[in-house]
Amino acid sequence: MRTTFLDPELVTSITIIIISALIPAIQNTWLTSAFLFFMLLTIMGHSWNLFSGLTRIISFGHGAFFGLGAYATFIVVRDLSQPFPFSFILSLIMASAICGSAAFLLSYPFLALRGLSFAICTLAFTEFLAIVFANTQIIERGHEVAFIQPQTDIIANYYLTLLILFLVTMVFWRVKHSKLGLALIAIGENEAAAESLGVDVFSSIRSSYVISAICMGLVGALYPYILLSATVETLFGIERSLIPLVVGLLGGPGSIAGSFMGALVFQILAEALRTTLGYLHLVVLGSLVILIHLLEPSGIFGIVSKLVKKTK
Amino acid sequence: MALEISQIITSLFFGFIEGSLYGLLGVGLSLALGVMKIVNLAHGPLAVLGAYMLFFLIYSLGISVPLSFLLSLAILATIGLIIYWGLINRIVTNEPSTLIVTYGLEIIIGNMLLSIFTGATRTVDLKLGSLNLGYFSVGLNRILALLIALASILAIDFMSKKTFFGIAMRATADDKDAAELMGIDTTKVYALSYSICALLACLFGLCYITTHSITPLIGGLFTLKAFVVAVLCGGNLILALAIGLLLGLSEILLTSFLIPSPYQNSVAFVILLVALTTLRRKRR
Amino acid sequence: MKKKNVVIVAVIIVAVILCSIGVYYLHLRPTPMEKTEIVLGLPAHLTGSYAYEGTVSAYGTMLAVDDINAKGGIYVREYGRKMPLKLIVEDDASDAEKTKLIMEKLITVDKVDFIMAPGGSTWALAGVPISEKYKKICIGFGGSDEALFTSGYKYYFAFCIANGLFSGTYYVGIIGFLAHYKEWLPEGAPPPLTVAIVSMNNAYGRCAANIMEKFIKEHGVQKVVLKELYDPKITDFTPIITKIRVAQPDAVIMCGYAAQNTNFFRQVNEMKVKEVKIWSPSCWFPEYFLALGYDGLQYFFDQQYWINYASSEARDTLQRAKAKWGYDYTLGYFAWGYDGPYVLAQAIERAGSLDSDKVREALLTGTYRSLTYGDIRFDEHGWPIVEKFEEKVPIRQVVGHSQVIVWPPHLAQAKPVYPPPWEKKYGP
Repeated sequence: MRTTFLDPELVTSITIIIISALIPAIQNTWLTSAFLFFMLLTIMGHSWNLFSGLTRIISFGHGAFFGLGAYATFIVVRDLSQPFPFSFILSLIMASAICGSAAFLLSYPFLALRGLSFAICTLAFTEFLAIVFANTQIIERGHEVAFIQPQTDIIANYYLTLLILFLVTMVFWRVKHSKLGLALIAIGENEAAAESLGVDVFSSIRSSYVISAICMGLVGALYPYILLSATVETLFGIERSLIPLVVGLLGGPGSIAGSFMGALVFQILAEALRTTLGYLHLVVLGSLVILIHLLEPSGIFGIVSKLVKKTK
Repeated sequence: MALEISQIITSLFFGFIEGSLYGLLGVGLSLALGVMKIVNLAHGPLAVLGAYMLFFLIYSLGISVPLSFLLSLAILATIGLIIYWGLINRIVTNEPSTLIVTYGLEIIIGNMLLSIFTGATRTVDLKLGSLNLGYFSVGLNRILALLIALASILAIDFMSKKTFFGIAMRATADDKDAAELMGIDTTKVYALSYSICALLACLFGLCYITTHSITPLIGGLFTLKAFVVAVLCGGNLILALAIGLLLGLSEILLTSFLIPSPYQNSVAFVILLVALTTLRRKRR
Repeated sequence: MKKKNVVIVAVIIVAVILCSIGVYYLHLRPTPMEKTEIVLGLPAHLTGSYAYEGTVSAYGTMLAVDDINAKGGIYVREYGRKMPLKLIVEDDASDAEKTKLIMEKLITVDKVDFIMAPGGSTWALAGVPISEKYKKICIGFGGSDEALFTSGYKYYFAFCIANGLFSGTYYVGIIGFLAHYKEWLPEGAPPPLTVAIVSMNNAYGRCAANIMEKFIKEHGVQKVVLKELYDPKITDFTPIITKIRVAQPDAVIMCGYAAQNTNFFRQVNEMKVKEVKIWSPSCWFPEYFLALGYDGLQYFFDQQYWINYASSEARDTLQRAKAKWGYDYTLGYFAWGYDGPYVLAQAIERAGSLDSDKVREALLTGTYRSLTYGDIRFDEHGWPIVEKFEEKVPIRQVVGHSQVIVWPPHLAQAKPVYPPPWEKKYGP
């Protein structure tokens, strides 16, 4: 179990983070915005990968935690009317608390299930939350869209997101290279065998689920500061659950650099496609996703690793 | 009092029909889940594709209605085969892969339909007239949809139990390796099964567009509803019909008399959550 | 992995990122030495969930730009000459995040002078803070949500609502029609005194329902006997229709988007609801006629919120659209999209400048000709003010194979068929 800092995943990740830190210097707000969304997507990919990538228990419902995290920010900014920077810290704490406890409580009924049942359960829960939030209007409060006044500018948003990205990346790395990570990977490979070797399966996956939920909650908490507006559809919609999944899987399930890869395709490449291809850009994106995956099931990072191995 | 009873009867009747459509929707997905163990996120979009195929054949090409029905089914079945050989075949053993690939398919199908047909809502009016049943009347197109749904489910159930192919399917579903040892060409079984799934999705699409209206991106919602039925029925197709009926009836009855209308859609998810977490039957 | 390989991996990744960034730079335009054209940006929904409305509105905007350029452009006093319009269209795939990216791109990379308002509240709310940040006038389709008009946005002007009625804009016409029944009620016909409101349970629908109720109360002629809110995602209206049959209102006003309306009225026909005399959605969509046919929509009413649609200028504009794209429908979205450049051009001419503050001043102080509403002026919140709006909304009824305008009196082609002979339509 190598924990040296020359771990290729970590090097790749840090390189991308450093490049991202330099993007605003180019003074092009379009590019900066694109990278901002790229970072958000990467964090979402990380949080999904932390849990489902390592344990191979596929979750369809991470959108629930995203929405809850965003809800935390709306409470802090609208109801508690805290000024910025305090509000930001508060929303992060609140989002972590809400999502962490939700995940903890949900782990009892949900984590007894596996495979498709678990996936559908998470999906149904997210959809149910969406319907409840939509009908009780907690977030939208009678408007078509919930919104807050801008608290920060784009540069502040960018570096805050970068900070969260850095933190989540390090958390992912530490978890993966810890005893918990080892247990999770073992569970992912063969749960029965892992259990027979003394791994406390339930406690391990619960910890992973909670950490994963908190990370997703952090992104969710960031979101209103950046987008300023949200609807139940954008917060809890199925896209919110599926895209981190595709990003994680496409990039490399369980791999830290993988989330970066997947987000690169889904955000940066997607935007480039949109501006050059016009009408059919989504069709091309969908085809690319399929092609890349068929080419190399272990994701883009898998492709890169193999390419590199060949040059040895 | 008389009107109360007619309310209940109306709701029961329409709920029954909606439910049978849900059953049909779920049966197709259940087949993919059970036999190939794949999560076919493209199920809803395939249904929408079939529906638009019918629309196109009838209104743009002017082909007669019965022939359009048959052609749509044939085309979708062929597309199912093509998708299988082109894509699914390579990744059928890997569960997460099927998610990505079918999700990619969902994006492709939805957006292709959007660029060809635009986002305007479409429907097919069969002009069959309606049946007067005293307190209310029901369109014959709805009755037709009901008959198609019931017949399809029964046919698939019959096929899976009484025909050789059906037995081969179930054998492959139970234990792929053992089936191969017994001489069953599991690849062919998979290919045909996927084709049948596409066919069933198409049937739902046909029933739906003749009784409701569709837009290109509605596929995701269908897949979601199909999951509710498919997951709970555990492979038993008659149970799938029953669950679909339960879903349809409860949605309409509850919203008519108990919970306020806006919550109509949440019924499905509550049922699902409760059932999955309490029944505790170990699935795949 | 050896150190060398780690470096190779990092280099490959960096190369890919730089290539992607390179694509972005292909789009950077150099600032021309002399300004020869007025650049307009249009963040449009050409794909995605709002593609239909977005495309129709984009047609309107594009036609307006073509019409203006056909006359040589807009005369700008500041530059001393007529300048043509250049329209840059971007597709946001109906994704609010992409709307933000596009607004940034259009303003900072394409350097537009003015930007067309994104259509729909979700996207307008995402995009307008950006146009405000850069002090660019954002005018056009826009969104109907109250928040857009009460957040202090200075440069935002939207045509999709009028007189501060928000989503109620599309439903007050029929209220006026019902209230003035004495002017069109045939001899011996029972007056329509009870109304049912069926609306979506979202902000749009609730706002519309509330405004309808308010107007009904103010007129004091009809009584609301049923108010039902439904989840926009449902496809089956049996429970609601059953409730309607119990309440037996004279008129039912249905608020929903095209899909909901199609399903609802199909079921109304199917269930042969004869108790109600006036059925009304907000406005006819062409697909209703394809779906239900003139027979299916027989005797139903509608209100056309493109109140100026019957004028010769509207007819001519639609003819041009038909010649260009085969587009043939009197949908409000088209007119709102058209009015973006159309009214902006008038304001620029009045201001004599391309400066945002000067044009804004002109917009707030002048009267303008709009395709949607005729003569308008702007309220400081950003919506058009139309004098006596409720009395100008044409109400149409489907009779035979045409839509007959039955109200207001100065536009009416015939009296409404009232009460509708349901036996003729549904049988005994």
